[in-house]
Amino acid sequence: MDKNNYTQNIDAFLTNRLDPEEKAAFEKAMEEDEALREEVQDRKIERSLMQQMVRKEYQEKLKDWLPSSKDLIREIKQPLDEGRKEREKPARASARRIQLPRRLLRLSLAASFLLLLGLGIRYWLNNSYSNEALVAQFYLDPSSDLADVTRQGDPNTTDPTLNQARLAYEQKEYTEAIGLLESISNQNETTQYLLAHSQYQQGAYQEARENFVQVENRAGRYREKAQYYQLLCALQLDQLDENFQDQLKAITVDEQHSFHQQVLQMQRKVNSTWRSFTSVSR
Amino acid sequence: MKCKQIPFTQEEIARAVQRGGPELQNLIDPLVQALCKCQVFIKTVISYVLHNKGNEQDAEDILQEGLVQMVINLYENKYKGDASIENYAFGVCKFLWNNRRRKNSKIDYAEPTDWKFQLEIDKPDDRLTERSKAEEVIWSIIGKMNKTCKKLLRLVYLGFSYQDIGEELNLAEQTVKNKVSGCRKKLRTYIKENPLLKIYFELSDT
Repeated sequence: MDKNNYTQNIDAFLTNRLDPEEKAAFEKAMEEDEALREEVQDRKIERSLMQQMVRKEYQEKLKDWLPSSKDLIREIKQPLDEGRKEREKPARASARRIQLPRRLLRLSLAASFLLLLGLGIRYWLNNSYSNEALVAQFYLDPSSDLADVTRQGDPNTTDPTLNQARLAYEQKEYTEAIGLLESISNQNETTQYLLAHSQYQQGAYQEARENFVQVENRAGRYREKAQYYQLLCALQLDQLDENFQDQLKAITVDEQHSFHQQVLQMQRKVNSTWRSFTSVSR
Repeated sequence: MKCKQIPFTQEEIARAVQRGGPELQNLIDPLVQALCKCQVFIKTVISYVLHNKGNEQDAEDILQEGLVQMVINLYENKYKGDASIENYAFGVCKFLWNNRRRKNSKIDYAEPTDWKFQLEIDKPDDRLTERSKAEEVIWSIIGKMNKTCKKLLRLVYLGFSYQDIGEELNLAEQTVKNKVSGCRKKLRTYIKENPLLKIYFELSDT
């Protein structure tokens, strides 16, 4: 492209009508030729002047070409205004209604959550730390002890009443078992032990405890078991006094005791912060 | 949005815009008249303005300004044919309205990324006074130009080649060249007499 062409192509350059190679060549020529740069600047001004003329020309033409939009505007505005009025009326009233319940709703949800959480914690504490829960956790099935009752060679097994009582106990006929056992005139350690368990199962925890004390005092083979079940009776009776704590301590310091581990756990739970914090009881 | 009144395809319009000159001039007037008859287009523009905090007068102004600006953009080869002409025209109107709102309320709008409009009137407010003075000078210069120069330079602006202008005005091509050159010399004199104009156009380049 020679200089003459550059001059002729200024308008094409300014309106982006040159192809890429021509445009690149033109830009390079502009960098090298100050006169061309000045001419481009002058052409820009000229184009702006002409643009104003064309703008005015079409503003005049449009006055005739564009129909009056007033009817169209009215047609569009009417539903718009009506809609706005409709939205504003209930919106104003409902805005207040909506704001208040929303806050209340959040507060209620938070309060409900805390309440549920509290109830949940209470429930868990009750299940884990109440006397009932502890007893259920630490009560040991005396089936193996009852098996002792029928062991061969045990003079106690010869007593048919005792065997009947044992059978009644196994069939959960505790009242019958108690009646049979109390009818035995010569009460021994086994009879008393089974009687205490029958009374325990029937819910007569005080009588059961007294019998476990007597079994303990006999210092026989059921001594340690009797000591252990005394603790359970105390829990059932909610008599967690100094005597109870002494009984706990007596077993926990005796590492050889058969129920040493169980009583250690029991002591931990009975004396735990959770129990004292919530004053959990039966 | 589709205007049945438009007698040209999108491709025909894009081709005429790219070529400029007589082909574009012959297309623009029928195109604008068709848009003026297109109820869908007019309703869309009016609706947009009214739904965006404009009043009736704003809607009418934007419709008119938008169409004028669309014409300028077509002559400046800013339409690439990637959208239908009615959607393009609507985009111009939308941009003008958002621009006006931004200037009035100092809210920033993101400029549309698909169309780049170089509006002479789109200047920051702090240059408004300078711009008004410059526009006064522009019109005084146009007033000084004779009819022939206005006609010739206008046709050059519309993308007519010297040959096209010769055919239009029944003149030889060389005569057209000489006359255009003479008109430009006079114009340069008027511009030199008004340094404010140069400053205005230097500002418009930034």
